[in-house]
Amino acid sequence: MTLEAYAVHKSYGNVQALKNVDLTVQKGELFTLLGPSGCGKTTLLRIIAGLEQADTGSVFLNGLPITQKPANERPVNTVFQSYALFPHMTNADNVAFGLRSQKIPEGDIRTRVNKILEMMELTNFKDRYPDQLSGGQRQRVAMARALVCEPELLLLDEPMSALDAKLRTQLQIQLRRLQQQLNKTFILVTHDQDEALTVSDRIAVMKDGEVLQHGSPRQIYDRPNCRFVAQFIGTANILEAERRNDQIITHAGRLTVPSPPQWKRGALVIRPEGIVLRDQEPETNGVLATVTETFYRGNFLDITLDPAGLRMRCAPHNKLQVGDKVWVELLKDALVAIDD
Amino acid sequence: MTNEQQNDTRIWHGELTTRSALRRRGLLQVSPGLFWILIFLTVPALALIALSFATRGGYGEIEWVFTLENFSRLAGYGMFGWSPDYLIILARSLWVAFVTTTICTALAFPLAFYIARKPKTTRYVWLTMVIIPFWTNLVIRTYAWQLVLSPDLPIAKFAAVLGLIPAGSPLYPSEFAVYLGMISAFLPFVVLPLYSSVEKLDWSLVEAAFDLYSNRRRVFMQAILPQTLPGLSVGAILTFVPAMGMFLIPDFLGGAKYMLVGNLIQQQFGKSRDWPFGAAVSLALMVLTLIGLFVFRRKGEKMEVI
Amino acid sequence: MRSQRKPLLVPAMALGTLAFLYIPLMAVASFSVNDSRFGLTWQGFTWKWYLELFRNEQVLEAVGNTLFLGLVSTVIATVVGTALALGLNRFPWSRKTSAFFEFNLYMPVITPEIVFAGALVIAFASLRYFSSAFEPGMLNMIIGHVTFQVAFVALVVRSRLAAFNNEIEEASHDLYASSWYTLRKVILPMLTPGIVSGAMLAFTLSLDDFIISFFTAGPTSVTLPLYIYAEVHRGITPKIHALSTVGLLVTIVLVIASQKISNSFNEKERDDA
Repeated sequence: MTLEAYAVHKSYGNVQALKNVDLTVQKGELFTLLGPSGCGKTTLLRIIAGLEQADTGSVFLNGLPITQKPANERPVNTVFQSYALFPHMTNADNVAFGLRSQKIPEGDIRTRVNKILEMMELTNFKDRYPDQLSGGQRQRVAMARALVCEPELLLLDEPMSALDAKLRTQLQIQLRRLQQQLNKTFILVTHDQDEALTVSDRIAVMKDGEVLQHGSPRQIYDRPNCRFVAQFIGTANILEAERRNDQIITHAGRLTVPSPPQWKRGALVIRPEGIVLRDQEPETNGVLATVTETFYRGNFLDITLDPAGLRMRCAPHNKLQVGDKVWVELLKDALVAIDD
Repeated sequence: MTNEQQNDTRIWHGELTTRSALRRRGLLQVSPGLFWILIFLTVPALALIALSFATRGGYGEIEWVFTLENFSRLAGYGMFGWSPDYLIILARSLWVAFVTTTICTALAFPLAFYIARKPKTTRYVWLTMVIIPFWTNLVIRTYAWQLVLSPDLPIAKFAAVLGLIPAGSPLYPSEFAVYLGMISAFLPFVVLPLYSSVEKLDWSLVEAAFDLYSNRRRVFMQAILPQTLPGLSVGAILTFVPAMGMFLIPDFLGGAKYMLVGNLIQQQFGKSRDWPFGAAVSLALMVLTLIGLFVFRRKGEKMEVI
Repeated sequence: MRSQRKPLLVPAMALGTLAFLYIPLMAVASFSVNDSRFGLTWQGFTWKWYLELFRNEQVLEAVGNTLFLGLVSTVIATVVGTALALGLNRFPWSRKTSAFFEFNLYMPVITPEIVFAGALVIAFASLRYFSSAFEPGMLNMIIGHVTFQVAFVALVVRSRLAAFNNEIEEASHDLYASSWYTLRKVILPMLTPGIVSGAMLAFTLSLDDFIISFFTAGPTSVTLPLYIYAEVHRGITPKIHALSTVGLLVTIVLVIASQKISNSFNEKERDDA
């Protein structure tokens, strides 16, 4: 295990930024803290980095406590949202900073710096200054600066937020490749759920200072445990439901689920992919629905159905029009019961 | 977890430290500068206030005997009855500072606008031309007026022809010369801040005003003046305050008979060796300056309201 | 831009005002090359008044004093002022303490020079009880100059400090640097443009100063402005015109040089990453 945090609590005046948060990150993982702004994800990251102090709680790295250690004694490095490159130093000197501050011999520094610059494809820029680089290049310098120190853990605070959308997707993939190539533990903070799903080994979804759910991207996506998680990641169809004995009653009719929930009133979540068009009434979970909206997306067609405003996707060559009546099946295994 | 306020650790810009360690470092950094100013300015300035209530001994030393004599002298109650000499000096300084500030402001506007309308490439040349006299030593700039106003040069000759002064005499020492010196000394102080406001002027508002008002004066008052008020007030303060305490210009150009507050104070700390009186006059200067600033602020606020 | 409402009045007044500013200086420069000891009729071109300057011991001494005073006071004021700015900015002082600091910081800026000079006279008179080193002379002048310079340096450096991004310092600590290392290698280098402007401002303020030097100078520590003042009272000679013209030329060089320096700083600055 690389990083463990227990019972971390942090308030700023009257505002509780983190409420009793536990976290475990495994070695070699890319772990993402995902949530809207103000949920506490950056605060948690900074506490791990040593840039903030938790009010209560402890942090362990490889089993050893680092809670009381100052930032400059933790083998943890951070890539800041604004990159925080030193404007008065060349890129090479920026990268070398963390090694020089530890009084490592110059010869070693040069070798390591050149190696990482090559790996990040920055060799041509090494004698230039940060203000002469593009956003994406600056991000690479910030990462090189952190990685050259070979930390146990690399923390990234919304590293893509300053970049434009097209560049982002490309860089997300590169980031993941880099992490796997180096086999380093990364903790990433982001509000972008696409990013979280793309790069992570595991995700923790946070809101208002609490971790609502953690697990692999697939687990979070397929089996959200509450309304917020379901809606924050991907599109969710949420059906208010009532349980009568073993049957669930919703606006879309009577539905069967794999294992009946405990509650009497709650909700069911189903993703657009969990709804399928049928030529005729299916055996279970069939709904006769009316098409209310269609959105052509090039490689698929988004449709909205009545009842319950269900949203689904189908193949783009479908000739469905608004007002058509179709049979759809809500796949039993795609239905998730949540209770909030 | 109980922690005393003083010793609790905290993280300051990434550094783990205690409040007391931070404060110690802060005090260490602040102390040399702070104590320098305290010892050589603030405390003596307070002593100055106290000194204004002290008595001057027979040989020019200070006797710490409380008296209001300095102030009564200032108000004119001397040994030989009442004479308004000192009050005249105070009033004169106030008036000169006020007139100087007003004329400088009036002259600064055309110049600032003129420069602002020049193309960007030549603008800094014109600004440099304003900055050069600004940075030139005041002693040089002031005695230079003695040269210009000397009897052999056209200006004095012209005044003699008009019969304003006897032929062959210079146009200084005189009140006129003092005004010339003051205005030319302080012009850049108004032009430069005013220019920075004028440069940022939103001309679209001015154009709109032209459409609204047929009277040019109203356009100026409504659209231009309010926008330039920040730079204007800086310039006015930078002129008025030093002008009130000016010593060199009246000394060179005003002669012995034309004294301003600055000359009076200099005399007390110099030849006359009457420090308590000098302190009282200094106090009066500070008070007058504050009053003048207050009046300027009121005028400025009135202009914003219009 | 929109056509002028008063087509000729503004440029005429503007240029007239500018001419007004330059008339005295031009007069001095013209007469500095006039071959006539008394009177002001033109008697031919000559460099001799300038040559006399170089042989005049008093002038050379005054120049030396002015430069020495300027350099020494600037160095002291820059170090002390920078430390002052750092200390003010980097600890959350209580409101009362902060107000006290601010008051003292602005005292040298808002006090009229003549009152400032009076205060210095009192200060040195009191200190003379303890040591005779505080007789009017170079030491007093240096102390007096530093007193106002330190406030200006601190204000300039502080405004630069306020624009600092905390994350830069945090990044430095994140990369294993101590506070001292951070100060040396990150904060001070980033502050250098501000420190240099502060120092330049302090230097010009010192060179230009008259009143404070007047009240603190001793017989052997006459600076150029004081020398010229004394000479004017003694009677104007062409030598003074020459000296003043030299002063004017030096000013022109300094103005242009400082514009070039601040231009190069502005170019080097982009927003922090």
